[in-house]
Amino acid sequence: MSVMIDPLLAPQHERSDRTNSIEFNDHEPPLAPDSELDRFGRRRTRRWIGRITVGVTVVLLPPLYSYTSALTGPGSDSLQARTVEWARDNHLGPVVDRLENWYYSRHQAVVGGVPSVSVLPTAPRVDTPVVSGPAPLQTPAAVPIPGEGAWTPLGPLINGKADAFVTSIRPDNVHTSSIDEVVNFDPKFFSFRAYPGTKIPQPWDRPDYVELNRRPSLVAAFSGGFRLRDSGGGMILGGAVIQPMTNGIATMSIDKNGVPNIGMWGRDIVDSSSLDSARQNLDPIVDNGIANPDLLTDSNRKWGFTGPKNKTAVWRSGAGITADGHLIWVGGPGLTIEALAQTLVRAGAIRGMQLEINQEWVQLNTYSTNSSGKTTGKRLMSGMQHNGNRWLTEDTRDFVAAFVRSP
Amino acid sequence: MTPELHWRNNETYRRRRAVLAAAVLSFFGVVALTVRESGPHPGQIAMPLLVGIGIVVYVAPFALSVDRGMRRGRTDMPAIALVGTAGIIFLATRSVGSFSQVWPAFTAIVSITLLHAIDYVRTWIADSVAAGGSG
Repeated sequence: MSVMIDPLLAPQHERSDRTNSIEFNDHEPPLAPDSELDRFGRRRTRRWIGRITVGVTVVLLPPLYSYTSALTGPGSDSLQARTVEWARDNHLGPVVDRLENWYYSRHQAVVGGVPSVSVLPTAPRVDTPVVSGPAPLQTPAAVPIPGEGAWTPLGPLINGKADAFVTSIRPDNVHTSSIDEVVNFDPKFFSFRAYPGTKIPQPWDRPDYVELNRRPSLVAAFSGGFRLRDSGGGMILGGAVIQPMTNGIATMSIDKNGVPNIGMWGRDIVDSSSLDSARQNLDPIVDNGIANPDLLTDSNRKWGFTGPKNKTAVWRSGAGITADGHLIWVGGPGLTIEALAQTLVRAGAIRGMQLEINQEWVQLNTYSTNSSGKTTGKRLMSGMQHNGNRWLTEDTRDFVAAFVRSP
Repeated sequence: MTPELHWRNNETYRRRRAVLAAAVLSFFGVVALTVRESGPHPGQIAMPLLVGIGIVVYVAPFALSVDRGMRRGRTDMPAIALVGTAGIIFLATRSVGSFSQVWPAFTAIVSITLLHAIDYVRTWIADSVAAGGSG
């Protein structure tokens, strides 16, 4: 071993070996030639392993950066939701669908029983015992629970009168321990406005949250629908076509006066010039006041990929329109696509559409603004995953907000 | 002082200085991210927690990697300064959002990989020059 060369002048990557050599020379007997060869071989192997590891890591850096960016983006989505969204954005949608189905096959909605107190609604309701609301809903369960299907006011009284109502109802006669919420808005007293989310392509004429000046009249907001690319349709926002609309797809439109409509694009909704927004999502699930017969036979293509023929009972939300123009929102756990449609029909919808699937995405928040002007929100159901102040700051998904209509 | 002692002390001094530089630079990166994230937004993580996580997942691994690299003679101060400064700039320019604690972990992976990559590139260049010179 050479100790004649000044180690500080040696190339950087060779210094440590020489350092070791100096120390070994002082304290250990000289190494046998075979051992030196072994050491040389091991060092060479380690170096190659190191090079391969660095090479693999460098190759993996772009997807790692992409995934990290997806995790750290704005919004209140959970780690799981962000991971799923990132996978779907990177051509792994079929894998995610199968994983979801595998998960649902092992976490099915409970059959039978009665709802526990913990799943009952959490939204603030006005303590008005008698209201002139819509007719009570008929529960599909054999034995009703107290108050099931009876409407109570939701949100502030307007001129001393309630104009939005909410009720709790079971999804069907099978999943009787699940309870879902139904909200009824009268558009004579509420105006609606669609908002984009960060995942919605530009251009936007509004922010991806409820503006400060609109918050005092904000009553509620709910999530808009599937990711646009999975919706089977398009979107119009502020008059601009974000994604081309498709005839025959279920559409929630809001005109420039904030009046909503739901129907089939090209048949029920044809004039886009009067619209402020239009959002399409899958095929209609209610038409002419009856559930779409395809709901029972579709092989997981038209309304998402949830078990055989969408019969897996999961969290879903949907919206419908009544003959007199009321907007109906339905959401909660234990809903098959058929149960969602039947609940909309039960609530009086003549046309209806599915909005969301999965507990992560189904959400309706109610809001109130105190005397100092601070707006706070609350989830309609405790099982909803995002916090109550969602949509007061930017969010990934588009949504629809309901405001008290100006006189 | 014997040559051996002089060598060991000098090497230890250089190593400790490099580790300190790595720790300080990476800590500045974590602080830059924390300042960036300090405004209220959805998914905000508590500032002390973000600093703590940053130290565990970035500062400590980066400093340990530098320590190991210096012991093996595979890195030096210019490389550490380059990678550490790039880390500060990178972390200071992240947009606010959720799960910001993932950025220090990502920066640690990139920084350690970069240090190794710089070493391999320099080795490769040195070997090429040596081979060219002898030929």
